[in-house]
Amino acid sequence: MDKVFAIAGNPNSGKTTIFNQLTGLRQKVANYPGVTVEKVAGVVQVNGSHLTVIDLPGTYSIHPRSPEEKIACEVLCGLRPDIPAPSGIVCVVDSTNLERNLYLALQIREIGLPMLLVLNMADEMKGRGGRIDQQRLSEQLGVPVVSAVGKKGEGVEEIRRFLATYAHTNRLPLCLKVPANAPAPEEVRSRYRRAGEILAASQIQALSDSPLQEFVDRAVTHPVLGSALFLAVVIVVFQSVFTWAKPLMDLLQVSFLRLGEGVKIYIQNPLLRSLLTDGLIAGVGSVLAFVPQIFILFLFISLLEDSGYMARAAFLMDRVMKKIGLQGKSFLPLLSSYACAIPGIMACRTIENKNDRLATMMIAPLMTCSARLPVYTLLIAAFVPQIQVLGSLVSLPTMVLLGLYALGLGIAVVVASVLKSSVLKSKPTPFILELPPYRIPNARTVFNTIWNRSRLFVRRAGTIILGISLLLWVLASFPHRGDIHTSFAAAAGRLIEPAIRPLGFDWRIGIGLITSFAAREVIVSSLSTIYKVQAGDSGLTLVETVRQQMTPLTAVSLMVFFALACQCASTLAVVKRETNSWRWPAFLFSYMSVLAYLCSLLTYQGGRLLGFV
Amino acid sequence: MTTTLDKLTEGQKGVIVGFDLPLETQIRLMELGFLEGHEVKLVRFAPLKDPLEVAVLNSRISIRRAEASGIRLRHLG
Repeated sequence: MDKVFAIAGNPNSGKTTIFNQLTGLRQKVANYPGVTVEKVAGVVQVNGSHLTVIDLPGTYSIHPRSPEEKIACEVLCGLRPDIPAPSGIVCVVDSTNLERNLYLALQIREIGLPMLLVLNMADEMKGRGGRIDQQRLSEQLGVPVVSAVGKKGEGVEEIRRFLATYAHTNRLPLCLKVPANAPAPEEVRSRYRRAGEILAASQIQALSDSPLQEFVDRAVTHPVLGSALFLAVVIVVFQSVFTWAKPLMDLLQVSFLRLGEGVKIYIQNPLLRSLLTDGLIAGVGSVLAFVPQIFILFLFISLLEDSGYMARAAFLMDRVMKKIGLQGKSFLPLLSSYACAIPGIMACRTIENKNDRLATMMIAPLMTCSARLPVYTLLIAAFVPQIQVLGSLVSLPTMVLLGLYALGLGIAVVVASVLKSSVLKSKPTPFILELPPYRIPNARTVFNTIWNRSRLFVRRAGTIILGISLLLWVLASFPHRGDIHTSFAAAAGRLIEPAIRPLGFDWRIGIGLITSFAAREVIVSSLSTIYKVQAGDSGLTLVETVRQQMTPLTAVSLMVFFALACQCASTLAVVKRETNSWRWPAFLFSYMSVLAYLCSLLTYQGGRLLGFV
Repeated sequence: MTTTLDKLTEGQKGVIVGFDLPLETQIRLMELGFLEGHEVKLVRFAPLKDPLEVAVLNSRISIRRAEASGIRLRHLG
């Protein structure tokens, strides 16, 4: 087994930038077994030997309260069965906030392993007039000290030397078990007293306030400027995931279509041809279609996080989100879920509190995502007359569409409140959030984040999505090749017909519901195929065909169903990956299905009572 | 004269003298630098007066009104 080193530090101490500098792209992201905390490990080569370096979650303390702190504590003390005790610890501190960072460093020093203190962001400290006597600091603390500028790679060589020095030693940590209780107030006080003494002894000059920080802060929080900035950020993030990703997604879609057509020519066997083109290539295409959105959203998330603005946005939105039992950090994931729940759910990882994170994930799929739009547009075009309402201010189709958006949001608010006051009721954990200094994001860190997220999605969630696509292909193509009308899917549609009849759906819509599990918009092409096969090619457009084959009330009921049902295998796959268990995706699917069924039932039966057809 | 953190107006400072909070919350805040004898400054309120931005040590921390009302201060003006 490789020797292991751990990198520890406060959030926003630039730990991850240092880690990226050390390991480059040789990183592996996985979950610690049994918990949702991410394990980020990389490989560093020094003097011909490979060392594993673990980037621990950023914490203010290693007293295990949150899962992150527990993991950090366990890894540092060598108490995890999956990771050997570290050969050394690299403790990264933010030089511009030494006193608080030293508190954690003192805790880590008590573990008794070889340790290196990295004074990161040394340039920022110097820029603000601060000076530290490194020699004194090292003597006081009893560990070697280097100063570093993570984003420029300064100090990385010294860190590598530290790794090389301790790559062959074996010292055992002094802590033998994870402390059960929080520290007593006196313990915190005395450690802070020590941190203060160390600082007083080694600080030559304290740093002054940064006029630049003050200036930026005043602009960002200005009543007019600040609100404008917030709105601009919201609009840009929303628009980019919605529309900027579109050309790339279209390009991918067209490429895969072309690829399919190209492959078709060379394969004679119709079954194999269909498996390759309609099954495999279409499946891979549907996985990759999400990548541009994930890419763009994480570009913004990473820019917002690294610049310090994300915390400010959470600060602004906290009060509103608190009303439904959530918190400020839930805002951005929910906003991006309007484009697509997949990147939205992945964005929930920025919410530290586990119950808040889960509750946000559970309601994210209720936001009206862009895959619902083709379904809504088709049905609205077929049944909702183009008349002006509200004193000819808006058209009726627009009103119906807005109504569907409102339905999803309204139900989401109710679900969030219910969840947060029942299954996900947390001990009232206080919302305490550091508002980090404003900083210019580091291109390398941003790139690393995007790269890791996209790769994880394709590898973990992608395989599940591909599997389900292939399964649905089998259902739609067998036993009579290529004829959806007599396929297993049709049989299943007929099988569930008695159950969906009360909602106003026949077996043909049933097929649509089953096949659209691969992606919501698939119902449009499924219905088109089925109706064509049945009615023959009558020269009617899809809208006209739908108008012939469905009643208006059925259409409304179907839209309500689509607004609320979790008709999306990819969402479930990504929830599985993010929560590291099948329990939450199962819960998500069940509650949304029940909700969709009941609301559709109410719509259809209520509508009939009122005399609609 | 003692007061609580949430009673300050924007820009005012105080020195922490004690807590009326659940021990766990108190410890979390202490680990972030909210210690007796430390100076804190109420930087600003969020638009709906909740949460608050507080300057402590060399950092800015956002806490909700509920927690701020449990931090007792000696007023510094």
